[in-house]
Amino acid sequence: MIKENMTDKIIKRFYSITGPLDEYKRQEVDKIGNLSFIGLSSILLLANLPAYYFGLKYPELMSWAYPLFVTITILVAFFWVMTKSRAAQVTSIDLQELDEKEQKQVQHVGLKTGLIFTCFMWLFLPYGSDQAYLTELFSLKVIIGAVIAGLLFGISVHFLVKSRENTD
Amino acid sequence: MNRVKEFRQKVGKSQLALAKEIGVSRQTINMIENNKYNPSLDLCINLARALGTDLNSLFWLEGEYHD
Repeated sequence: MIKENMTDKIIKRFYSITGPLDEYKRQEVDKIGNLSFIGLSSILLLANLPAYYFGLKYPELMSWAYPLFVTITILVAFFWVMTKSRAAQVTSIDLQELDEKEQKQVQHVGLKTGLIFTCFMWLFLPYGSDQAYLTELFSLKVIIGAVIAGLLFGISVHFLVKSRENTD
Repeated sequence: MNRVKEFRQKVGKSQLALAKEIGVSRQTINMIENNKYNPSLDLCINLARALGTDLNSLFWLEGEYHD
């Protein structure tokens, strides 16, 4: 088997591919990536024209509207990439096919990502408050908020991974 | 059309075992068997070797090809 280089590892991580990045998966990923690149670059280039025009007339409106538009466009592109790669079976998980390291990564993935997300939210949420960071960090409101966010995120990831397991 | 599934079943290998032997994913074997993916020549040769046959028997079906 061909040894994976850094680019392969990045592609696998970005598209959530488990198992070997063989010629079929590589071809599908290339196709999906190219189409999303063409779509994104066209939309963003064309959107620059109205953004420039309205930016001169309504700078305050455009200062939040354009980043919002870009974010939504990228999220739509992400969703499209996810749907397409799922339909092409690129992201299916075959537990028997995974090596020991990959099997460990998949095990309790919801719990692990939920815990990491909880920690991240716990450290990030206090920034939204007017009070001192440390005071807010240990407030019940922030802790409960972080736990709920982590729980929802963990459960979502768990079901997302389960739905990718062994589909033909 | 190809006869990968037929030959694989003849030698008693699962999709996963065949995939592991030639270094591809099970999904790729599945796609080839269902005629949803045309493999490269390299992969065709590897498949033929793993199934103990030749390219003609595996991929050439009589009466299917026209000029």
